[in-house]
Amino acid sequence: MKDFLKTKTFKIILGLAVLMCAFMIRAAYTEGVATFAQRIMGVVVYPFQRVATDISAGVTSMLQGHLRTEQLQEENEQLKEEIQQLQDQLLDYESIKNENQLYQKFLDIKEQNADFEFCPSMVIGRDANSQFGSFVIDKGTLQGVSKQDPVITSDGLIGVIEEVGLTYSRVITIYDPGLNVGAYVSRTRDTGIVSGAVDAEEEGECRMTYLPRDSGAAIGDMVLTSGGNIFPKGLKIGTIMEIQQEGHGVSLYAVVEPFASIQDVKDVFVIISFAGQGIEIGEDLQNAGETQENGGESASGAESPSAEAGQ
Amino acid sequence: MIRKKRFWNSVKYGIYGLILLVLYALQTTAGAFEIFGIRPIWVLSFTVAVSMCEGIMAGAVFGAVSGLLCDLGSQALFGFNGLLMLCGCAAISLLSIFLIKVSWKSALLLGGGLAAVRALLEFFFFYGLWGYENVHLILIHSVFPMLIYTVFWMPVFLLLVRKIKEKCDGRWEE
Repeated sequence: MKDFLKTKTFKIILGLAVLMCAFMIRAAYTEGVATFAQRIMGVVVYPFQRVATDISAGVTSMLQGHLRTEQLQEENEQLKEEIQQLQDQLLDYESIKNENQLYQKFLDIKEQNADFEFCPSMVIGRDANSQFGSFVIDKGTLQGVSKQDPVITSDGLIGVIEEVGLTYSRVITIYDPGLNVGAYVSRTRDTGIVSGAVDAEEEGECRMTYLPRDSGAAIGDMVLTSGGNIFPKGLKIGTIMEIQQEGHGVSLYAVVEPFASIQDVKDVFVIISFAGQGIEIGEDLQNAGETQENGGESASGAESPSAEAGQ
Repeated sequence: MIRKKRFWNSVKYGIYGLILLVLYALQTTAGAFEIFGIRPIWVLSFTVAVSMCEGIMAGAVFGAVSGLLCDLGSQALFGFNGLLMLCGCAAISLLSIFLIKVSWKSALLLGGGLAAVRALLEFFFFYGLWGYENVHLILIHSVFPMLIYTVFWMPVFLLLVRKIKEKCDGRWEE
């Protein structure tokens, strides 16, 4: 063993270990912006991930088509080829129709929020190791995406960009207990903080905490973002499913079911720019005098434990 | 002879590198080989197999690369898994050379050990430490099943690495 410590191999391994430590220090220093080494690796693995995603999608649709064909074969052998052709056409049609619907919804959001600047993106990776539904998308700094840009679908809020590389970005979702989103109940205007909880995530739900004890919020009420420097105002988050008293008894919390299907989302939009983005709360209040509605946003992801942990 | 050896070594490590990238792409593809939402850390299983068969230097380098690949997709600080896997794979290589006979049983043991240390450290730093409620559910529903699924692939990758090594080393030894 003593001999091994004197070998060239040991010295090289030691050098590599120092390099890894340097990567960690650099990554902590850059606070979520991908380092040069990460960018290089991202560029190398991106084509592989893209191909794997495309193959996976192709195999899934092929299997679906095959199963349908088998059913039809039992019913009518003679029409097999014709049915297969029709199914192929149908798959193409469904694909085009879905794409069309997606862009129609995109147009609707764009019309409702003229100040929003979008970057349509595709989910290319869901790491086996990641909790709380976080995923990787195929857009990065080259497409104008930056850290803490909100990520949505036409159904509602998904999360926020936690780390950004040249051609990819990692998104943490509202299931993550580390991400706090300032929100309000649309009917009662009560404000609170929406964030994830370990047990709630398993049920596909998140929590809205710090609701006033006298809040009139009820099951079925819609929860929207209250706006601020990270999230624009009025993004749909979800519906209240349950209201409970917090353990300490000072406030209430609501169990919220997100509108967006976070666990199996395939296409998302990154809001790369909106009116008020990056403006600090105090500054915002001074300028606009909007004292009521910007209340909850200050707690958003920037200072969350997992945001810190991930940097 | 030396040129031949160098050539076939390059081919061998090239194949390992390519397999590593393909496995990474597969393990990050949603829905691929997923059982109840659980996917294995294939790059870890494969790297442990390489470490057991190819010696300390190859084990350490492949460990570092696969660790960095894990860092790329996870919430961990870039370099965290790289450092862990570098040390772990170098240690596995040393154990395989001096102490433990390379077999599917030792692959399960060593691979399982490294996967467990890595998963528990990551769990501690990213979830346990922050005091989230019901954090044990992550261990039960996510970390342990992922560990089992990852370790399950160990003998398969050991067999694959052995075959590749046998084929490539056999060429220059002829």
